[in-house]
Amino acid sequence: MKHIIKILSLLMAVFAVWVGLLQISVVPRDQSWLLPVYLTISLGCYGLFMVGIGLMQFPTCPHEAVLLQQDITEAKEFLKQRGVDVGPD
Amino acid sequence: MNDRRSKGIDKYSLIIPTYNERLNIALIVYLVFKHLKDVDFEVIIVDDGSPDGTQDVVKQLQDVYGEDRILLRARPRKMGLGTAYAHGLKHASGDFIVIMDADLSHHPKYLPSFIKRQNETSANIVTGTRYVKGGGVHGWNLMRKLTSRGANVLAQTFLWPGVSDLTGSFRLYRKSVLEDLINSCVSKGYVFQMEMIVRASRKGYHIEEVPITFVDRVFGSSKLGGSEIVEYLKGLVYLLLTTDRASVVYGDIEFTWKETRDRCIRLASSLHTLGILPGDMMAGAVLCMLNIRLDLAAVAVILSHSEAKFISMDDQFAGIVSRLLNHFQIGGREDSHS
Repeated sequence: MKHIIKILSLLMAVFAVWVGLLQISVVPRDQSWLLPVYLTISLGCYGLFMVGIGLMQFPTCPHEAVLLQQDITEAKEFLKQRGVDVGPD
Repeated sequence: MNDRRSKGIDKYSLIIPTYNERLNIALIVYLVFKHLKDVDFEVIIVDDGSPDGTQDVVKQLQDVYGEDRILLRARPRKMGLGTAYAHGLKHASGDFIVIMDADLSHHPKYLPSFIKRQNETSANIVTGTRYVKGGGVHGWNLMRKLTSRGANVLAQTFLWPGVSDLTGSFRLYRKSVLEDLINSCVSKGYVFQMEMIVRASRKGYHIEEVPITFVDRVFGSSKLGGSEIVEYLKGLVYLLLTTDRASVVYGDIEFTWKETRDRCIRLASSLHTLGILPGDMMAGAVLCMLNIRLDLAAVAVILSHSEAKFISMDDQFAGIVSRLLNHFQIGGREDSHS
């Protein structure tokens, strides 16, 4: 099944819940059309929030760059001795 | 080789596509040998005709480490990443395939952790992730991190991929699984990596993740521009809409979309070889359909009237058509195509 079908079914389920809420009139009638708008906005906010959190917690590894340089030096020494062209230092 | 198999020792084939990686390939081979001391493996270098002499360095490495451990399987020019993997795969004798980049952003020191995780879980795919604790990236500025994170949130929201790092290309695959996935994927570039892992997830393959660190020494020189973003969004939409259904099913025979595409390209090629050009009676040219229920005489009349240059048919009609051509003395040349 196409993935988009799954997403659309999810949306349909949410829509059904919305209609159900309308029927039992939990929310005043004249404001009920706002619910989908609120939902979309909150989804957007949630998305932005997740991006922000991820950005703050983005894992970095500056020490790895140093280790890599050490590895490169070690490799160059070894290879040079065995006749592999590793270029000018 | 039989001893190894009967003892149940796995062999790993590392496929490294290269283009102008004269220095890096030597460094990476050294590091691979350093970190995989007790492992049975081979390194397959798929070089796309690098002008900087990468292949010469590979030959020097072969002198140091042996031609049985370092395989150079070059190609004449840049032909794309997906085909590089397929090419390497043809020459791989391992049970598992590791794909990695040659520029040292993928450090061979993580190879043992890939192998260990696969052994522990019997996973079909082990993929390296940069975005979890224990992993990380170095060398990206804020803008780059932002686009990466934004892309990731989008992909997680819409694709539910089951992995945290979709565009990563440091992965270990069971050989049969990689063959299956390569046959099913049609994208190019890094979207190809996304498609591979999304399809794998949808097909139900067991996927495990290990943290890796990614030191990007190239980023400053290559910018992440608008065209990459557009390419990513197109890839996202494609993955939303694509299925794993077969494109052609005829009895027992099934073809994936990729196989159908390849077959179309081969057919177009043979037509060209036979001398059919745009303007002739077929697409680009115009296609005349022959009703298979007409009798032989009617078909013969239609054929000679149409001045057709080419007749295409399924196997089951081949006998009838050749009888037809002989009987009514219509000249022609046969070309078989599956």
